[in-house]
Amino acid sequence: MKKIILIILLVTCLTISLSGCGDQENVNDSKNGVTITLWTPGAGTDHDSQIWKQIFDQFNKEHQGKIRIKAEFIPRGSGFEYENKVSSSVVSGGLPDILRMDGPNISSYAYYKVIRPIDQYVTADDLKDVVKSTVEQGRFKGKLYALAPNESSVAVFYNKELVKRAGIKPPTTLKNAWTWDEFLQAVKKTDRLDKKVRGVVLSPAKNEWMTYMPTPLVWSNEGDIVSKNGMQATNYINSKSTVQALTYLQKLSKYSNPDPTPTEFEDGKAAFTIQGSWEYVTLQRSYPNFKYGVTFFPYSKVKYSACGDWAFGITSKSKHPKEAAEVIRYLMKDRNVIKTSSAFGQPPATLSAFKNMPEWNRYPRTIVRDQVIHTGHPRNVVPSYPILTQEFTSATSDILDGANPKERLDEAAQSIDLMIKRNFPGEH
Amino acid sequence: MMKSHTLNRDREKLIMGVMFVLPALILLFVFLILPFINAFFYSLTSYNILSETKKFIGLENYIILFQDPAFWIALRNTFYFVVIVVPFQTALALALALIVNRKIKGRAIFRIGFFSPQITSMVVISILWTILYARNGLINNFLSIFGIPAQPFLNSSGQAMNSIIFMSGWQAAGYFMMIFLAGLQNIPDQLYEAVSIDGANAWQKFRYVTLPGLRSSMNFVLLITTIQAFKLFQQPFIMTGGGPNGSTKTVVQMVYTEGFQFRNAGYSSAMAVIFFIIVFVCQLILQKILNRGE
Repeated sequence: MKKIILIILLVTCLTISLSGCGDQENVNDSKNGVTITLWTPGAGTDHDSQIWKQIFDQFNKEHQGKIRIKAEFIPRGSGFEYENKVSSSVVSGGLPDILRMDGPNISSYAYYKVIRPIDQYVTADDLKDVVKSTVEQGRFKGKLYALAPNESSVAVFYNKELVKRAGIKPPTTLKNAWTWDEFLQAVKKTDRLDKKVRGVVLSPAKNEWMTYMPTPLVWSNEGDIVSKNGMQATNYINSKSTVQALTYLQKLSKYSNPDPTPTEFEDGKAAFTIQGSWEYVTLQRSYPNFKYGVTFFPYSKVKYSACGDWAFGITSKSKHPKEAAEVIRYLMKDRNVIKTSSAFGQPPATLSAFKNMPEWNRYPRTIVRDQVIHTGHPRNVVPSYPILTQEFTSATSDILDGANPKERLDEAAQSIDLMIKRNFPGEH
Repeated sequence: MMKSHTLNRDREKLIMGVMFVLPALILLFVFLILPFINAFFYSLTSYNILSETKKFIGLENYIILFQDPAFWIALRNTFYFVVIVVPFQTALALALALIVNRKIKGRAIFRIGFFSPQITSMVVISILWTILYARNGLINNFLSIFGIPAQPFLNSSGQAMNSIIFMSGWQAAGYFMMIFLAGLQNIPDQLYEAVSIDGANAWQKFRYVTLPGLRSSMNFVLLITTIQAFKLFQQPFIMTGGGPNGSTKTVVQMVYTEGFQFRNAGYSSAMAVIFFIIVFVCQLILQKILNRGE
């Protein structure tokens, strides 16, 4: 009797523990037509996820009986949970039809054929309306893989009162955008206007920001951080142009508090700051009475600015690429681009959306609008990007802490090339 | 008749014993042993997590690993951490245990206070200490009282690892203090009284009664602290990202970066296998040294 009870208990325990390994049913209900699965980061219950849900529900209503979107929201957690889930699903199966991915990841997924080209589903006319930087971000080895409905940018935000006191008038047209030197002079002039005020505040974050923000300086100076195919860093990341760009950044940092609080600029302790376009939303929501201005990211030889956002692509294993492409085209439609952009506080990725959103045609948002349309330069679309950004952020952090730019970038070039050789053995 | 009856009873006990241990053994096998065997096989391939093909390349990953300067730097940093933090943390834990073992008023509060860093997650503590170590942070403000100029701490390749060592020792000392405390309370008072009669001073009491009495606690603390120290990852990952200039990059951090950010499962598995062997050998040596006296 005891033995039987024990066996029943054991079997029950095992069964309960195995029930955790459930499998998502992929019901292709002929009533609903084709089911398109879609993954996007989010918690499902947060504001952004709600917006997507509304759009997906509307699509399902309009395409009832033909195509149905089944969306899954995957939390990003402390950083890379979403990417890790994608990676593990490549092995274990279960990737969705449509995958939303961060700009810099597009090249890796394309290189390993996790996603497929979508050129045949997108006409030239469709692309004419999309801003150049978004198309570039989604293009790998000449083929288009993904499209993003929203964009991003980095601009110079300034404290109106402090800047006026110093007698400075930052430009409001792209034609008159500041050069490196002009921006440095403005920072110098406002530094220590009051005892506690610094000219600029540069965020010391040791993450993707440290590649996202400084790389346009490198490109502006006609340098780069890696070769076109992404397989060699030496002579690029440590070229004279790149060293000059990071030396400039180091010069700027001398007028910044080395250990700033996250709200240094909003608290009035710095005259200028270099921030992402999301700063508009931060200031609007949390500092409505703060008088600020915006001007363009400074340039050296060519005008470039940071850009990039999460884009939608179609996985190689998808059995319904045509229908998936339908979904992506729907998400890139004017009203949906406008809906998501205004809800997320981001600039749109289409020219027609810009025309139809009045807030982007008024100063100070015109600054970011002009940058997104004319000067956006996506981060290098190469499969070695994870290695590049890892080493570049580390080198830039050290340079901001005072390291010699040439020496530090030489080291970075060496270690990057070693790692690229090891991770991409077939590419030499 | 009696013999076969006993044999059946013994067999029954054996089967029951095995069945009780079986679930735990299965879990241990599936989540610990099987992945390790897997890791060994991955280390013999050039396997990128995003690609579906694993190409067998034999010991090439290991050959590259031995020639990789970044690995040796990470190994050196890890060993430096272990060699410094183990005596520091152990001595601190022992000192705290000796303090709270005395019959002073409110010693329960001291015990709770010294132990409390253990309760918070290391991630939270790392973030807090990053702020404390800032150039205009609390610690520098405190040092300025004594006229000491502001130290770069986490921003200097010379001080970063030492700063992490200090913080790690502070955090974990409370836990091992408890272990030492239990060990101290197992030393009979009569021993102390006996040597007092012989005229021993505090230091002699400590050396000839306390330390020998703590032998098994000390072995445990040293072994566990050493193994834990080798696994250093959270503190440098959060506080310095491996910098400045790679001075706080550890082996576990490299395994994570190579395996998850670069998605090179083959290379990071090779690193994990080699690291396991190194830690295992070190632990064996340590055990031999500690058991020599017995």
